Amino acid sequence: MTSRSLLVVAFGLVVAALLISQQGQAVGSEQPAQPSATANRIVLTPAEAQDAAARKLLPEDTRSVLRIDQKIRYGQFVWDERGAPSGDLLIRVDLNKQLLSIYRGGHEIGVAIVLYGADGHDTPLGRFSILEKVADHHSRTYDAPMPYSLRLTADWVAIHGSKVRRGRATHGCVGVPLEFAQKVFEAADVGDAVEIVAT
Amino acid sequence: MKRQMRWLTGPRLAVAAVLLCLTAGGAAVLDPGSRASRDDSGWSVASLLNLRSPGERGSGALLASKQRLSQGSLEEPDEVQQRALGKIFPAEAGLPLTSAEIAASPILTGPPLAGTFPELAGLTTAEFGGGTPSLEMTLASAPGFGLRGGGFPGTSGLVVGSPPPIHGLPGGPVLLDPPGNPPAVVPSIIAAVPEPQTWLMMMLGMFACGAALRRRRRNDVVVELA
Repeated sequence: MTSRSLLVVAFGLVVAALLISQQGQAVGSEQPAQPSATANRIVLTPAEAQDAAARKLLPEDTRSVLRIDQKIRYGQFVWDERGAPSGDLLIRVDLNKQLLSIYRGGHEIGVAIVLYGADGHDTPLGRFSILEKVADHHSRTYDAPMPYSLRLTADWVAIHGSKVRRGRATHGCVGVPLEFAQKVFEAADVGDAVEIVAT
Repeated sequence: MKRQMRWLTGPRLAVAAVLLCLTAGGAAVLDPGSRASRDDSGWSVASLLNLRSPGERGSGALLASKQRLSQGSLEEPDEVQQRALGKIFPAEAGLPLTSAEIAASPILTGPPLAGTFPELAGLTTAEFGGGTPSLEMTLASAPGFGLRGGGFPGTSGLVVGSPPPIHGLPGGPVLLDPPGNPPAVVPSIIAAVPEPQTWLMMMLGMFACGAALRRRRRNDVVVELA
């Protein structure tokens, strides 16, 4: 093999490496995932809903969930209110699945990947109600912005907008993509229920 | 065998590498996995949630070191136990040798130095700006010594760079070949331009480093916001 062909092979390897790196960057993009145009939700039978609630997969009295055919990427979210009538709002955070779902009247209207507390700064588990809504809060403890905060506890554990990327964690708050945080902020009211679970 | 492998030329190999990369990435993109559809036989709420979830978070290696730092185990002790010092050279190395010691040294043969080449000693003193006369210069330009033309190619046995003074001889380079000793070893020449094989090996190493860094970064957890 001549030295010229070796150089060409090396060039091919460089091009391959560039392509691989571009594929890796595409994972971190923050474009919202498009929901499927037809039949955007899966309606659960009462038996299915009861079974899922018994296994703590879904909240009680879930009627339908969004049909999402692909993995949601970090920084992406799905928001689709079609087919969801008005009703009580419930936000459910599953830490192990890194998912936040928002339900209105038992119908899921939004899903996003979340960041949660790192080891030693664990996010509290349980059922909370939104104590306060602050659109532009700034944490004094950690000197960090907390846009669209929904405060859950007295020591300011909140659901707020954040740059959701792989490998990131918070000091105990639940971080969601900024645009999703704005939608949740507009949809939720003080007193609405929030469940944080680890399945 | 060589004839059979002749079709595997460089450009084809390069195209093959790119195609391999594309197919590996494309398979991951095109493979939809299981669809979240009630029509599938294996549909369940659990599979639906697993399909949309990125899975559990990785371990927090980076955070662990931060925790140790915050707990104070890495704090500086109150009293400094050790202190880094500069390198100290022993004073004996700087002692000047007498002419008798130089004559007795195994690397020097010939008559004692003092008074042998007065005109050459004066010349080198002038050349080196009044410093200590260089034994190597003196000896190299003096006739009657067994000085070889070894050393770096292109030089005629004369060491140009910073010759050590006389009293530093024991640590200095050995230029003189007393009769009976093996000849001086000529250092191998390093090519100014690396060969293509070297380039390829270096690039493979870089790729390996990059892959290792990517893998490590993926497992780290960084605390970013409140």
